[in-house]
Amino acid sequence: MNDITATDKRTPVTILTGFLGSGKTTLLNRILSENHGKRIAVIENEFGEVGIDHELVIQADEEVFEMNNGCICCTVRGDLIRILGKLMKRRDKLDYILIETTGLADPGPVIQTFYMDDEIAHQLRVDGCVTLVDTVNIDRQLDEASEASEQIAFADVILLNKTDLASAEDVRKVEDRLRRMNARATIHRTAHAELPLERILDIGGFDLNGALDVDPKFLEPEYPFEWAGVYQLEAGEYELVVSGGPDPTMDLALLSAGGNRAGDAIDEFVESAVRIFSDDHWPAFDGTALVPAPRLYRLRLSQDLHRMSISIARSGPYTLFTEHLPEEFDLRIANGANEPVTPSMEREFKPDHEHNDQVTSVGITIAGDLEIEKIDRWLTVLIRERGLDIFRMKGVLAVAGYDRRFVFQGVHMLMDSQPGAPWQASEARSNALVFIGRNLDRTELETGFRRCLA
Amino acid sequence: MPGVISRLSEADPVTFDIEGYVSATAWSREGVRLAVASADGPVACFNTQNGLREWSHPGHGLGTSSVTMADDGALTVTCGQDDRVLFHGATGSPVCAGRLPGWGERVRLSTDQRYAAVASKRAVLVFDMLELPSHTRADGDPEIPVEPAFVFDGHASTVTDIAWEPGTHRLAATAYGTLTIWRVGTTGPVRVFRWQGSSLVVRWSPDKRFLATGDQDSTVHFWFIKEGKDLQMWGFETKVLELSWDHSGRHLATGGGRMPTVWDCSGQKGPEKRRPIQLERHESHVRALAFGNRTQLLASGDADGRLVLWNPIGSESPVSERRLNFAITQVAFSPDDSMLAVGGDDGTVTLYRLEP
Repeated sequence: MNDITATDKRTPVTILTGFLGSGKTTLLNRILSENHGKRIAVIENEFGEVGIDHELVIQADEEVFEMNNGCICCTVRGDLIRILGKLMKRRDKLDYILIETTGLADPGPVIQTFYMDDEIAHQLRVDGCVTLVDTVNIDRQLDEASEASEQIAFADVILLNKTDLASAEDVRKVEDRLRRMNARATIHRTAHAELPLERILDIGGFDLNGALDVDPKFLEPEYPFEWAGVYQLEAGEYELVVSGGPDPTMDLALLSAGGNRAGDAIDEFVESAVRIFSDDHWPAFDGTALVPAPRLYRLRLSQDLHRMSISIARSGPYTLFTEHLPEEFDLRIANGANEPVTPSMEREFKPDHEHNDQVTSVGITIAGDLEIEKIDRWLTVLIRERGLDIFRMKGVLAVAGYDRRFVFQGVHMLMDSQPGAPWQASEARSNALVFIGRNLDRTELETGFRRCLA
Repeated sequence: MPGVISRLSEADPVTFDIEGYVSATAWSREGVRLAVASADGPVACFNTQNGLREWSHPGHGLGTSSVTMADDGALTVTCGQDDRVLFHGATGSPVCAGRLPGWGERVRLSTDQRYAAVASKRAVLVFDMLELPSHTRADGDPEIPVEPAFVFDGHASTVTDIAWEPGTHRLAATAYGTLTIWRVGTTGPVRVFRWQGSSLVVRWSPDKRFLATGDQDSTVHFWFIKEGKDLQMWGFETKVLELSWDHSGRHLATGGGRMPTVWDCSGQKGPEKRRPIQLERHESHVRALAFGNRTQLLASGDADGRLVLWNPIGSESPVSERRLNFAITQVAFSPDDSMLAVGGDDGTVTLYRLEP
């Protein structure tokens, strides 16, 4: 629980979405039967089947109302206003409210209800949107129904459920696809929707002061490397052998993956590898020796065979990230006897063209100060013109003349903002923005945002 | 008494208590009894003459949302969050009970008290009071199940409020997108007014010219029934849940924020292009608003406990004012306007006498 949820006395509400068969009912039944000492009300959809006979399981009709306020995407859930309005008048106050939506429901109106109705906004705060995913079927669901994409886009937390029924490779592919759609959400892999409740309740997903936690690698259009392999190396001398190929240079990094299982040796290092690949090239590299370290090496290649020595001091797994595919350069690691060492695991990071999802995340980070009139105007126009397609957005901005951060978050055309933490003298002032939406144009957004610089 | 401006008596008011938040009140026709419902469930009946509680009943599970009284308090009808309508006898025990399709939103009696209509889910169920079993039953006897005589069904979404036309058996029902008029004995709606919006409350003007609705999107709608046209008033601070006509049908008081507003609906055009009377005194949202039944006194109560009595047609200044230590949720004049019941979020009901 962060600061704001600790001081906010309003009752938290979590929205639980997911297609039929994703495990929502299993999760709800667990929440209700677990001994957490909380008084929790569950508002289930009309097809909901929470098995527990519980006074506070209430069926709702999912009545979506348009608001006549000139905002085309301002829809609310009338049934929720009625039900919650009545529940909040009771003396036996609730500790928590969970709202389950059907797989075909867009979570937008539910979230907007907590901003559009004064009575509700005064007493309840939406804490987060949790989306359950059936790992085995989500690819098909995403391809067939736009609601599935919207549920991913709105999520603060995604439960990649039923991972026990899918191969590790399939789970990873699904996770990558979801990440590209929603780079802000925290993803948990689960079987039978089992996980500690604190990962889904009281997470402060809509708190303005919550961190803008975005995994930067998923905001990049592509990975800066095409391949990674894990080698189990005993202490001793090795060589990296590489010939000329279609490109004159090749960037690579070799990282010690000690302590990690082979499968994790790639997953765990992807993020640091992205960072290393965005650093400058290691200046002292003379083309003769490689060291397992967070350094980016640039190999300058001719048509000849190149050999670079690698000294391994400690036995264990090592992960090699390469800019291009090894086969294009006949790249291999050879042991002291000049025998090739086969990677125990490898993965290609080819750009994913398999799924052309319309829902994506766009993250922009720019150093420097923004001019308040410019950013205000840009956001106003953007929301007016693209609000329907922007499901969620969040920003932490440095505005010229203000010594505090300016934070905002939005759902469609609704926006909520306030001053954030002060900038410390030691901090470089910078701006971070994340949009999650449909048909977002990264170039257009980035250009527009850059024009707001002071 | 017409012509005489009453004030809240300086004498200490009588108070009653119910467990929970006062969600609805109803006076008996003679003003001797006051039924009070709580959002926590319980229902109670108080005698306003001797200040005693006549009975109480656990009510409706997750909450009682509406109450009305018939036969001068011998019969009390309630509905709420247990999918039932209860007909309580003179001792509070339910004589009979009707099953509803979902939570009961509202119960209203026709002017002649022949029919009790209950809004629940997308239907209005109408119970014929003449067909109910005898009211006098021994306490503890199980209530007898009763069936509605008519069901007005087929609203596009949940019926949020209902109102009987004064003196007739026609009933207006609001749901998202429609305001529907039904008549007992007629199959299918008599009239449907459509608009893309959500009305939350509906009130029929005593002269039957207008239906007024308070809406989710901070507007008030006037429906000219004969002409079939409507007029929408914008600019309210919040959604409008408080509406009250004066006894003549000329003035409508509206809440929807901190400023009670009174609209003059006389003449062909009704309130169109007329400056309404705006009553400035409340500093927080007005949660309860009611005109007198015989006078043009208007009572308003807010979330900070400020109770104000107005004579708005004569003056924009308060007639009387009190500060109560609970958020006011209900105000209701007795049928002869000699008393004012004020309900609060802590279950208190304060009963003021009015005197010249």
